[in-house]
Amino acid sequence: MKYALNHPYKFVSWQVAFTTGFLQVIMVLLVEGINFVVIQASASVLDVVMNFLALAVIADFDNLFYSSLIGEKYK
Amino acid sequence: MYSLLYLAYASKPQLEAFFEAEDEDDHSEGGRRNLDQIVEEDESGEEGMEIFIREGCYVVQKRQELMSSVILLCICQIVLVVLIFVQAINPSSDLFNDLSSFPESPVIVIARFICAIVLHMSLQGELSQGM
Repeated sequence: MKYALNHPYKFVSWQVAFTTGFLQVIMVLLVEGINFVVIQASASVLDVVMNFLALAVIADFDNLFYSSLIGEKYK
Repeated sequence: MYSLLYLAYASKPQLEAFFEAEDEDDHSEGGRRNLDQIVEEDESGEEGMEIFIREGCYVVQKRQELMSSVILLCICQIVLVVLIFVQAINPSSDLFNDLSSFPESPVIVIARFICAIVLHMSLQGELSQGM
């Protein structure tokens, strides 16, 4: 977000770059908050680890998605 | 090499100036007569294209739209996280009942602490990247 705001001339549309960073930040905060709630609600070690792994995979979705698109050119 | 880098981020007026200079130098087989075919704006009016020179010809490669992929990915993540949250706060589920009870053993507390710390550390990089 900060890079897009400080270097708008490097982007075709700095608003898109800013929104991308903003969505990423929102997702990280959301996953972290839900992780605290779900882990606190788990009664066994197995449940804790399973819920943690589920949220870790969800949080890693963007990296998995981006790794499949390496080589594409973006605006 | 400088021309290649310049063209990758050039706007339409910059491209026109570049091709006029190329015509004067008479360096390439392309040039001004193909400029109208090369420089085409998107339907939205944006100029998101990359132009490079291969075997003496100008090659145009339009860049993909990033925003639609980002929004789709974000929606998928939000839906999954909200589904987990709804299940956690649902009064009929076991997860909700366990919120008001003390842990049975210290092992659970340790497991919770480790999982929370590890996820927090793994997300710190993404958070700083997004900021």
